[in-house]
This record gives sequence, C-alpha cells and structure tokens, in this order.
Amino acid sequence: MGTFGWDDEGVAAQAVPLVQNGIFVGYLSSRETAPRIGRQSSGAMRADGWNRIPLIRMTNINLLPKPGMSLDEIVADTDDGLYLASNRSWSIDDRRLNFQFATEVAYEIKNGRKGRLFKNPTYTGITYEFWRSCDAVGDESSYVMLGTPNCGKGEPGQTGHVGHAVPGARFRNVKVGVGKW
Amino acid sequence: MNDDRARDALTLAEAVLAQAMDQGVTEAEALVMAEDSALTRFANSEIHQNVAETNVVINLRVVVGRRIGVASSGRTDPEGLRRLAENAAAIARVVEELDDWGGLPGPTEATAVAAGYSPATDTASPEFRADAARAVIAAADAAGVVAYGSFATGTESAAVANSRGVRVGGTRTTSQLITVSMGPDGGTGYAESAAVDAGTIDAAAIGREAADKARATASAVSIEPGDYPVVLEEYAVVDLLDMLGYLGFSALAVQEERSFFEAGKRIGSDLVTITDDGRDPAGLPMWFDYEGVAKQRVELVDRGICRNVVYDAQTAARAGATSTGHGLPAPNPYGPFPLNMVMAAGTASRDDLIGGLDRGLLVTRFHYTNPVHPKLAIVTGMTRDGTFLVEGGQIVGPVKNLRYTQSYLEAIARTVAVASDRRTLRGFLGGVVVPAVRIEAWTFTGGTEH
Repeated sequence: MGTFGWDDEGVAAQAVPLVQNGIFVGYLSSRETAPRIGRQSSGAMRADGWNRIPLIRMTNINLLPKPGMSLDEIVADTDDGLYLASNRSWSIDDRRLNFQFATEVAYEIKNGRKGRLFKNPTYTGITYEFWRSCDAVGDESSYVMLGTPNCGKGEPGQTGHVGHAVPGARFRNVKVGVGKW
Repeated sequence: MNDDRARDALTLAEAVLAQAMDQGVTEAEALVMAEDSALTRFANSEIHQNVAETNVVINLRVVVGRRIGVASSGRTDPEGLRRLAENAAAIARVVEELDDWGGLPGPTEATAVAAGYSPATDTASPEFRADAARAVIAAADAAGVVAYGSFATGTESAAVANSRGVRVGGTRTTSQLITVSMGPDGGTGYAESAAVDAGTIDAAAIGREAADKARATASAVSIEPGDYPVVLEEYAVVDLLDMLGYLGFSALAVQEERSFFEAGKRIGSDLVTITDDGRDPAGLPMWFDYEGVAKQRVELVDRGICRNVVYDAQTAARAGATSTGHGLPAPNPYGPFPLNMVMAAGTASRDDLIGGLDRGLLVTRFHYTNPVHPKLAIVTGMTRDGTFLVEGGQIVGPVKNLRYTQSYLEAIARTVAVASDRRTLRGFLGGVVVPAVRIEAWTFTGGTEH
C-alpha cells in the first residue's frame, strides 16, 4: 500500500536501508531535510491530495525475512511464550519510545506448541529495547505484505497509505498484559 | 438564511439534487461543503509556512429502492454535476440492498446561531495570524524557550437539499491557535485556544502559558508508574469526552452492542454532566447536521446518570426514534457522533483542584490515545508537555511522561472536583467546552525517557 512511482517532490521511489543487522543507518527524507545531513532525498515526501503540502511519510517500511526458520519453526523453537496475532490497538509516545499495542488474540506457547487462547492481549516496551531483544525473524515463507490505508499525520491532517511487509518474529522478555478484562 | 455563501451552497445542492432525480432514483440527498481556510505555521520561533485553501466538495447520496450509492466531486459545472449523478446512481444499482433502510430525513426547523459566525475570523489575513504568532514567539523569547505551532482560521458553508424537502444552509467560522514551547533542558509546554471569533484568542497569554510550562518541565525526573490521584487540565479532559462520545454515546455503537451505554445507569459522579449542544455559543456552534437535520441539545450524562445517545436518520429509524441531528457525511461507517460536547462547570478554582492532591499528578494533556477495551472505555495513551508531581497540595516539580491504561468510565465515576472555569478547544471533529477536573485515581502503566 505504500508503493508509488515518484514522490510529490518528483524524486523516484526507492529502497532505503533504515536498519541493517540491527544498526541504525538511514532515514526517510526529503529534498529539504536530506542535504542537512549530507544525503540525498529518499523520496518519501507525499501529500494526500492536491490541496496539501507534502510531508515525509512512511512508504513500505518492511522487516526483511531471514533465511533459517519459518514462523512455525520459530514457534516450535520456543519453550515458553506467547503467539500474538493481528494488531487492533496502538499507541506510542511523541518520541516514538514507549509503545503499547494490543492484538486480537494470543496463544500460549509451551514446549514449542500453541495451546490456550487468551483474550485482550497487550504488549508494551521501549522501542530500541524491544528491537534489541529480537532473536528470531521468519524466512520468506512467512513474509506477508500488510499495512494501513489511514496513517495520520500533519496539521491540517493528512491520511497516508502505508505498507509493512513482515515475517513473524520473536522477541524476548517483552512485558505483556496491563489488566484482566 | 441571510448569507450569500450559504445561499449559493444551497442553490448548488438543489442543482445536484435535480440531476440526481433525473437519473430515476427513489430518493436523493445533496450535501455541499464549501470552505475558505488558512493556516500560519511557525517552528523554531519563526513563521515558516502559510497555507490557504478555497474548496468545495459535493457529496451526493442516492437511493434506488433500498440500494444506496454515494459519490463526491469538486466539480460544480453542469457536466460535472451530471457525471456525479450518473456515478452515484450507477453505484446504487449494483450494491446490495439495505434491509432496514429507514429513508432520508424530512425537514426540520434549523434556525441559525448568530454566535457561530464572526466577521473577524472570516476576514482574517495572513498579517492577523502573523501578529498572533509574533505574540506567541515573543512570550517564548522572554522565557528563553522556542515556540512551535499554528494558527488556523476558516469559514465553512454547508447546505443540504434532499428529495423529501430538506432545504437548509449555513455559514460558520472557526479558529484555533496551538503552540508547543520547548526549553533548553528538555522541557516542553502546550497551550491552545479555539474560538468562533479569532479576535478573542489571547495569543500572548497562550504563548506565556506554553512558555512558562516549558520552563517548569525542565529536567523532569522519573516516577514509578502506579495509581495516582490526578488533576487533568482541560486539554486532557477533551480526550475523556471525545473517547466517551466515540465509544459509547453513538446510537450505532449501542445498536452494534459495543457501547457501555445503558439509560438510567450511573456511570459518573454527581459532578459530571455532559451534553451535546450544537447551539451553545460557548462552543463552536453548528445548527444542523450533514443530513440537514436540526441539531438538538442531547443530555448524555446528567449528574453521573446515563441519559441519551445521539442519532442520525438511519440509527433513529432502526430504533423507532427521531434523529437528533448528529449525522456525518455519507457514507458513514462510524454512525452519528456528538460533535459539540459540553461538560458542565463545577465550583473549584485551579488552586482548589491542585490543593486537594495529597500526593498526585497534574497532567497537562494526553498524546496518541487509543481504545484498548471499547465496551469498558479502557484507553491507553501518554502524558505530554507538562506532567507534575504534587505533594501536600503544592507542585513539587516535573516528572517524565507516563503511559496510562485507564477506564474513562471509572475516571468520570471517580471525579471528585470540577473547575468553575472552562475552555473551548478542538476535539476529534468539533468544538468541545471543558473544565479541568480532579480524579481520585488514574492508572499509569509505564514510563518513558523524557
């Protein structure tokens, strides 16, 4: 959903590494912002219509698959954990550090097998701590294109189409649950 | 109707309606929304952007039997209107029937609210907005902080004509000044004002409020998450009303069994009274909805007791009720919405509110809130731009922002003091009039680094 030919400054859409092997390496940028850090625009300036000024927007922000284990094999490799599926609630602070997400369902994982179903699951953390705790990323077989058609940004507000191609992944020591309802 | 723009909008709506009926449809409704708006933006204590927009959107809903088609366009020429009508009719003929379609609404008496329009806002120039930005920036300069924000002014004309005889139009103005000040030691402060008359917004006062708070929040310290009594400033209370309106006080939410609403049930303390009133001059008035139905004053919560929900034509027909004038433009998956919520003032001063905290937190506003459990109105979000520890009724100092996961129903049930002063602010979609409040307990579930 975040696919396009050229952004609204006429820069061709392109693949830009943001994080490589866990190291922050790049930015989404524009013709105005990129030169300030000695780079060229990543082609991420988009407006949601003729009457809005382009903003730097997420394009397709993807977590690339990693050869090795499928999502099912990651589950099988997990002794004690939770399998969370389908995002349904999201919130993150203004510096994009503290986040809390809720999913539609959670399955208990015991000894590599999915078991009991839990309702109202949530998980929370600090962004860089969470991503540093990632110890398994699924392979091509679990890689799917997801996203949202209504990512909001700007004043006056603009709505953007954003894609996220992602495999399943495993994160260790994540805080889950904020209440029982 | 005594304004030319509303009359022009209604004339256009009638032309669209005629084109639609020529398509042989059963019913039709033309909504015309015209705007003339502008915004001046500042960052790093400089104006860096001015935007202005003159636009018209025509929304056409047609009904063929019980099949409904909606199309919209920005074209106002005869060929554009004809194609719009053809498109809406073509859509209506291929979609599924709506079994419980209740029909378009009939005419109501929607007399204009004179207080909803201000010539000063209507004619606001870039220089007028720049003067306000200058006042905000001067206050930031004086405090040694940097100002960011925007000042928006706009005039909106709307008109509805439908095949059941609705003919209504009106013009209103709105304005909003917002600013975030940032200090050298990580402090940030927020202030906002919204008004029909942009000339009544005291930009210097808004600038001082944000700048003083940016200074006061410098070098904030961490505090353990947990349950704390809180004083919520008006900017935070807006979110309480918006979320309760969104999650519970829409008839569609009730009909889809995802609302907490139960008429006669106590959900708030005696101090909590919330109405939706598009005619209240304290807010940002609008006297008819996007279906052309006159807005009624709806008592949502009366001294803590759930009283009513708001309806549009379809949810009213489904419930055997009458539309309260809360319809949004079609197609509308969200259902009716209370756009003009007003919370009744209490008797407490700001000092009373803070003085009543033995050990608690003063919260300026919330950020990125989202429902976690809609039916219990449990919401998560962050504090932002001014969170303070209060001990012995005195502000001790700033604390780093906190995440909360809190039932907004429990929040209004445990509201123990309400301020006598109120502010007019922008909500999700409309204007909101709110006081600050003190709440016995608020559940903070996490922290962050700033």
